[in-house]
Amino acid sequence: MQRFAPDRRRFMRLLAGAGGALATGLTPAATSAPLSKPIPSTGEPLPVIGMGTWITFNVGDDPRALDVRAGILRAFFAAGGGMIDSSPMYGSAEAVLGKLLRRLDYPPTLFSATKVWTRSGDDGPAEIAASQALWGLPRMDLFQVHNLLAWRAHLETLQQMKADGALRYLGMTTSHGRRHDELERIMREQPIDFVQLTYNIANRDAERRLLPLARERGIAVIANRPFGGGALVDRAQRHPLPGWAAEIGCGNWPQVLLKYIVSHPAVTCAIPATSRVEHMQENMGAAHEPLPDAAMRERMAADFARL
Amino acid sequence: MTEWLTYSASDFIPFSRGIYRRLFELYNARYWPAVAIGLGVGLAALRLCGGRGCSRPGLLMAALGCCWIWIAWAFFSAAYAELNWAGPYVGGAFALNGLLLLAASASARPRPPSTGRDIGDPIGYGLLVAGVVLWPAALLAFGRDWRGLELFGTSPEPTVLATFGLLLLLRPRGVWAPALIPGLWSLLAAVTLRVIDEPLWPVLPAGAAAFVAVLVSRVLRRRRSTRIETNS
Repeated sequence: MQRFAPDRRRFMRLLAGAGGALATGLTPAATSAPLSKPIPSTGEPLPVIGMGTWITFNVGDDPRALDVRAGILRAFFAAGGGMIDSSPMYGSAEAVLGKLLRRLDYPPTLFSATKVWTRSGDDGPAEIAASQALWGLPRMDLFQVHNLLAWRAHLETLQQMKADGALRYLGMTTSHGRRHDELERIMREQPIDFVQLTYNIANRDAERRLLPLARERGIAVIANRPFGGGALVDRAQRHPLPGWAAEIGCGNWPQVLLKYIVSHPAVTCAIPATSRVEHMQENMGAAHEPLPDAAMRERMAADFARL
Repeated sequence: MTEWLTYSASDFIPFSRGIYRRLFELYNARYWPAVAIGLGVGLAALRLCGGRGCSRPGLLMAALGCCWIWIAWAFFSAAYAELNWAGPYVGGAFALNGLLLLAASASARPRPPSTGRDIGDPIGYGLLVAGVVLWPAALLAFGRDWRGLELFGTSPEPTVLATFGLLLLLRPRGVWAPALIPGLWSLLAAVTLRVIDEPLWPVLPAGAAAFVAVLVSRVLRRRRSTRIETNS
């Protein structure tokens, strides 16, 4: 199976994103390629729809479930998907990803992201090495400190790895709107490339301080829980699609929810998770023009709040 | 500290119902001889405890301890650990309880003839039946594939349920000690099953509550009879 060498992958990715960022931060890399946005610290383009793996890729050795996840990854890559995000906390998800990436001829758009999640800074390097071994990639693109756990010690480790060329980007994560004050302090004081936080049409706390700060500080933003753990899709799908959905190129509610998120100028990508191929295809449909403008975004949020 | 209040149980359960059910299908297929032996132990326990009091109480308690140690090793530390990082820790607790049951097997005894009518015996037998027969039957009724049934002796939930029953029937000395971990697991399992929408989630806490109620009633009855003896 032919795989891209790291440098070639990187070159291809940069080539795919050539053309520079538009004023909106959007880069239509090619006619059929998904929209991407530049990672502020390097300008490298990243497709706006990525993939999360919480629960959905924790399938152990189940051959039937592994085949389904291979199909999901194929659909993701076929649609030009980029970031895949995981964590040692997600059970077998990293091992499953590693197993399937070895099976698939993954493309240069793959942007590997995982986390370090241990209370002890001393245990960080061993956990990081274990994650790298499970993914089986020559080098991880992004390591993040999971839920700010022992973040000072882990940040030191990740900074050293980045300086040594063993890692391309580093970041911090929170979810469910927790510890935003502490995250804000870190964003102001520490040189990080990415933050990951919960942001969706029903949870807009990040719009007040964190998203403007990310723009100001040049930090890429990954939006997790775009569907609020599935609850937002369940709530929305009891209602017909609004008329304006067609205006922003959405054929279903998940695309509406995703376009709301990735159209925020500070958000670099959203990472919906799914265990079904057809849902992956739906999600990736959100990575295409047109995206809603500011006025439409307000209307979307107001209409959704009334559902 | 208040941050913990923002967490919900679902933040800690990293697998779906479908994958949890498949886990048992794969586990049963891999260890089918052990599954058959475990079920055989359960059926033997039903037979041995079917009359007035249990015969071979020490052997039954020791076999139960071995089942707990098997579940600790094969289920929690291997199969379940693939899906949940907490698996080995739960496995450690199950192994410890297996050792406590083995230790308790020395003092297990059938119902003493002097105890008279004790509601604990029918409740204990009912819990044993629930663990060995009713739990898998209910899973079938709720649509579980027969290959993925959870069975006494090799799967935790039915074994815990039956353990409450056998502890009531066999009355080992210090019965609380080997009941603490089953009690804790009843709560954790109920939360897990509730999060993944498994309909049997209330059964284990109900079994634990029945167990505690019987033990409390036995203690109160013992105190009352001691008072009567003292007064007379």
